Amino acid sequence: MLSYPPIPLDFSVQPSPFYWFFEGNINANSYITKSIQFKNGFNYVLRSVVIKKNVDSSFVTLKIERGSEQKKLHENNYTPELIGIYNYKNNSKTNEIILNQTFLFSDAITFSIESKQNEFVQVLIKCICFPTTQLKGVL
Amino acid sequence: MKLEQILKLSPSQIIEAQKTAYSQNLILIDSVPAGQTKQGILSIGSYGHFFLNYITGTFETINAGSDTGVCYLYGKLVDNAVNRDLFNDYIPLNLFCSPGRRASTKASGSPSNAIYSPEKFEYFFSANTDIAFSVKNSSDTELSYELCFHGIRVKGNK
Repeated sequence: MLSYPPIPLDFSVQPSPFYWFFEGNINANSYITKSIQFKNGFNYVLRSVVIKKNVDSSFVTLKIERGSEQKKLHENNYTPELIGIYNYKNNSKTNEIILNQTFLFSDAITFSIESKQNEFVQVLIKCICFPTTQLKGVL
Repeated sequence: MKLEQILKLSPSQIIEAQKTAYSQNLILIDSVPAGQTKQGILSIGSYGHFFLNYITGTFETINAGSDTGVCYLYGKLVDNAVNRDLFNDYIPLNLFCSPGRRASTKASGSPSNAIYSPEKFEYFFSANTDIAFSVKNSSDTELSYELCFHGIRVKGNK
């Protein structure tokens, strides 16, 4: 069945998906952090975060904080297996965590990933960016 | 347009509507030489704009003559019309491509660990522009990939 998309008149100001990616090694009983600072002129909706681990284990925990308020989006560190949706068949190395949080351009997101064993993690952050003039319509 | 509205249309009205907007899949197939970066280009064409809904894709995972199951291809999506990066960096294809890894004729191995849901990626590409997908290959073997862009063709170029 046909469905008709909204057609923006100005292609330069349309909302658009934007994906962030980082990867890194974590030593045993250590952690890595990554901060994302958004671009001026755009507000963001953080849709979800995909985490892929090298080892199928529960030794990795994740914390996500809103930079401007030093506020945790979750009260504790969580294992991705617990709060994520399995999106791979037959293993739990990769999890997608649905967040749907709105961030202003002045905000930053900080990710802290801790591991009890040596790990290699890949993190994909799925955002939708909106020109600041359109945020009212989005909220 | 909502389903109730469409159901009130006569078949001839639906046929008329399909002349201006209809479902279409655009496919990008390419291979990247070992250790190199290559840009795949998919032309939107002059027939109309393209509203992208979902991306699906498959790729090979060959290295040193065997199918290792490790993703060696990293890609970056760009809207060439406004030179807008849609990814901040090169992203492993296995993090967003469904069904993902596939069997290759170059080596034996069981394709597994596939993502089962297509990647929702809503973006409007204007007519007469290109979707550019730059891919890095860190394997010692030339690897191929296929991406399918599922969307709606909207007729007109203004």
